[in-house]
Amino acid sequence: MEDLKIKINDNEYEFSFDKKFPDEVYRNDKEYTVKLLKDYGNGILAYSINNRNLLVEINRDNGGYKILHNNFRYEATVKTATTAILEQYMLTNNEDEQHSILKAPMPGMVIKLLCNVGDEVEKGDNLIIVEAMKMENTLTSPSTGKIKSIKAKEGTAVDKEEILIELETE
Amino acid sequence: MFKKILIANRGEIAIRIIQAASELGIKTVSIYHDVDKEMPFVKYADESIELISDTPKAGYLDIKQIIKIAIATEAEAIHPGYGFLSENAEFSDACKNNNIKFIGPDAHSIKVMGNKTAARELMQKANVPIVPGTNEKISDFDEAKKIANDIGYPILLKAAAGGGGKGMRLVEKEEDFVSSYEAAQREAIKAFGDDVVYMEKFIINPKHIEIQVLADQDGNCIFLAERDCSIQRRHQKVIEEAPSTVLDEELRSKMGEVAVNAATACNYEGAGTIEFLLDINKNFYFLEMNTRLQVEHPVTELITGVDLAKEQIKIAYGKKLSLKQEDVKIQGHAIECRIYAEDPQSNFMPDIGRINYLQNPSGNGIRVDSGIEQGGEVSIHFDPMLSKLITYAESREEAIDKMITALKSYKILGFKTVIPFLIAVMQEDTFRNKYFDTGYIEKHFDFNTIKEMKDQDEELIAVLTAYDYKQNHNKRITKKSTPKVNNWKLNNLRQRRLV
Repeated sequence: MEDLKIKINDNEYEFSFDKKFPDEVYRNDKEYTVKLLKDYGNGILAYSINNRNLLVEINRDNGGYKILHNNFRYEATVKTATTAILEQYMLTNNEDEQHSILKAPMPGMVIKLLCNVGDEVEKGDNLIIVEAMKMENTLTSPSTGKIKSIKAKEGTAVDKEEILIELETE
Repeated sequence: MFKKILIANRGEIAIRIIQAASELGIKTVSIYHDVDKEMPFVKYADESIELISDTPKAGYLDIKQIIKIAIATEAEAIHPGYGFLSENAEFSDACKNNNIKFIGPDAHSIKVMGNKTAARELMQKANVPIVPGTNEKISDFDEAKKIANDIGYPILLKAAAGGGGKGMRLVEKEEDFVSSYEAAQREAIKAFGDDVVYMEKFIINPKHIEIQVLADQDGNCIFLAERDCSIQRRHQKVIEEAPSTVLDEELRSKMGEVAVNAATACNYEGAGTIEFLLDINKNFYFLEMNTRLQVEHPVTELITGVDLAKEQIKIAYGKKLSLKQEDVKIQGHAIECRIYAEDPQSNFMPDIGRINYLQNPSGNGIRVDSGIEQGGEVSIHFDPMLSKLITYAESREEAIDKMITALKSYKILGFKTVIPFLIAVMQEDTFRNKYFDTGYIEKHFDFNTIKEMKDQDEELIAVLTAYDYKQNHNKRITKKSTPKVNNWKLNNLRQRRLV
């Protein structure tokens, strides 16, 4: 197994392996012994790492990992030496998307649009009010830029992850 | 005693009531909408009948249908729980008119206390101190702005039929008045079907102290100490405790007496709660009366030893209160944390999903009032409250530490919950040792503590990811994943590298 680079938030962790010791994961000089204690099914796993107990829910999705542990969701991407080379040639990837698209975080109803196409907005500005779970949620701009297009309509329902507003960022 | 009662509610409170009824030897009927058919509360009752309605919420609010079901199942009484029809005077009357005992007060009490402006008027007459404000609906903005200036900003706009923080807006200056009013009205119409909004002086950072009362059909009324519900977010309670750190016996007696007067003034029957605002100088003002059982009732049950749900049923049957005021003693300290499916790091945005793994904390002094089970879904149709976790110990400090342990062992997998936030509050100095008020979360709480809790385990998660990838990478050859670069380009790149 080739070396892996795991990226979570802005941190990168490099790990290597040894075929002779399949339960070990190495990072710099540190050794981690990983033991699967129980597989509950549905991605729920109980692990012991260097005797520290973890109960996690793992979702593997398009090369990315979403791991729920202690009520926190960690998003990790895995890079092998191969994908690292390919990435040099890749066009705009997911990260850009995150910054210039406002998606509905959950199903709801669009109550009010607080911006127009062409508006210059700053990161954090209030753009739209969506009602969900009996409360009004004001969603803010993911970055600074100009409103490129508004897909959401006042008074219509939206699904989770549905694109509401697109921005043009520098 | 009643032979059978119907519970016109859902989730954890339906289970709570079914339990109380069952302990009294009463058979129970639950009602449910199709979206809830897999929920535990449905199966908890002896019988369950489906509600037919266009939307889930409409079913639980369908008075005619619920009465019909009660008659068909021969239920002698209906317990409305909290929310839904619990403070609906029409429902209380409908039960009465159909010879079904409504487990709660009569329509008159509900009407007068349910309408915040009418309640304030009644309290003024009963010499109960109230917060300065208007008693009428705001219909003329110029007139309203004048009154607001008289009262003095900041002003709180509130829905007369409201509760739970909905239909409320804080107005800091005159320029914001109209837009805030419109927003409050929108929310009020949606949540309560009533557009009346009134205003009150906003008392800066009060403590929220409420007094539990019990009144029987013979006119006896007692109070069962206080609950401190100052830890709130968007005016919704998050953490409650009993007793409060700021009340001494004298203040408790004074507030209790006032609470009993308030309940007696409307000829109250059943369990009720008088909510007060307590300012920094220990002046208290009537805020509102909730003519039903409250979400946070467990903390009172634990420090007084009184089972409030059972008392409600006994009172409804016609029994006299089992306690006199001098018999009410409080002992120990209880804390309740509401467990919501919300992400504290994203401004408490609700999260949804399937409960893939659930393990409730348990043990000495730990109580979980839960409405969920493993394999269930957190739905978008209702409030994202999953359960209540309550701890009870001899001292407040012990109850807090017990809560930390319980929260850490509360395993819920499938979506985000507020548990990390709750742990952080339990560990925080102001909450543990100092004076805190309703401004706590905004002013004292540092959300970075949650980030630190998350970052602490990041390396281990990275190790796990690496290990998992290694174990599975053979199976992961992309059939499902969509390439980020189109296939034509990818093939060309591969060819180039071979050269």
